[in-house]
Amino acid sequence: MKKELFFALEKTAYAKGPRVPLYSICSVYGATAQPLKNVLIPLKGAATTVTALDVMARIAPLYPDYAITNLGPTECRVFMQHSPGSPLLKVLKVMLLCLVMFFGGAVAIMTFHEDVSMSQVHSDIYAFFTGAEQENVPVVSVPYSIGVAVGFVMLFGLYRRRKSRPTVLDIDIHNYENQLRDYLAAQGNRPDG
Amino acid sequence: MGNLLSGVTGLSAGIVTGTALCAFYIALGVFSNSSVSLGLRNTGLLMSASTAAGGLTGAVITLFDVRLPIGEAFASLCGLLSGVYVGIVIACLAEVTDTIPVIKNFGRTRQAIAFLLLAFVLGKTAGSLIYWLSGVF
Repeated sequence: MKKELFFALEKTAYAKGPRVPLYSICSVYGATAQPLKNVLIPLKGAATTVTALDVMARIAPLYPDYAITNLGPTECRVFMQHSPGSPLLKVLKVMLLCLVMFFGGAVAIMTFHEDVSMSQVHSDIYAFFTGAEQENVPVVSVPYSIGVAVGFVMLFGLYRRRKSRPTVLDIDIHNYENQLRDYLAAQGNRPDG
Repeated sequence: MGNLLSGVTGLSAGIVTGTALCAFYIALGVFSNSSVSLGLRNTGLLMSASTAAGGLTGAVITLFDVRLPIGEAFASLCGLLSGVYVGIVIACLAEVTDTIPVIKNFGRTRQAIAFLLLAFVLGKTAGSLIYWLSGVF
């Protein structure tokens, strides 16, 4: 009876270069994985889908008297990692965007308050709680401004927190990255390149 | 007859306004996201009851000339808590319109995104403070 060999692919993998060794996307049971280290698979573009059939065609000659069975997913999506780029340029871009967000947010909230006449509402609140009419009420306005920051930060979790409690921001980024991966994988499979 | 019709119109207007406002906030995900971010579950009844009570109180205060003179500290507290609410609404709006993934392209690490959001938030606070504390506006 032939000896049995099982292999399983990873679902997604990230490659450091233009060719990925089979060792990093496939694991075997029933024999050593030593021959896998030498087989390289060339990548096409940003994302390549490596099917189990492809892998089986490559490892069949390496294990001549084994019966090979696939126990994992039928395809593996391999993504090319971006080259890092200059860190100085990245820092400059981040700083520029920080400035844009800072001033943009400031003007946006100013126009919003002007639009809804929030200062009138604040002096109404002050009149409700004290009975005195007053035009400018920093007693109400300053805590309100601090509260805006607190509410925003509370939702997006910019402070340190436990890893088991992900915030809205983590889930949002995760969804976006999934969509990006699906898009890249679909692009890789299109017939016209 | 005129009084009855006016009363019915006012009631209908109130119902539609309250429903529309609440539907808007539910669509943004304000209530669900804010309770999840604090780790609470099953807060539907709590959220709807407190929002309804708040809406009723706000309507009564603005439309009738009532006073409850208990001091300035409560006015500050009211301002702080309503500011937190506005901050949550802004954050949910930013999340629904997918602005975070769009700015994600500028910073590959999570730290960069945190910096960008912090700049955004500080800008909003600074804008609010300038709007009220300087004599220009």
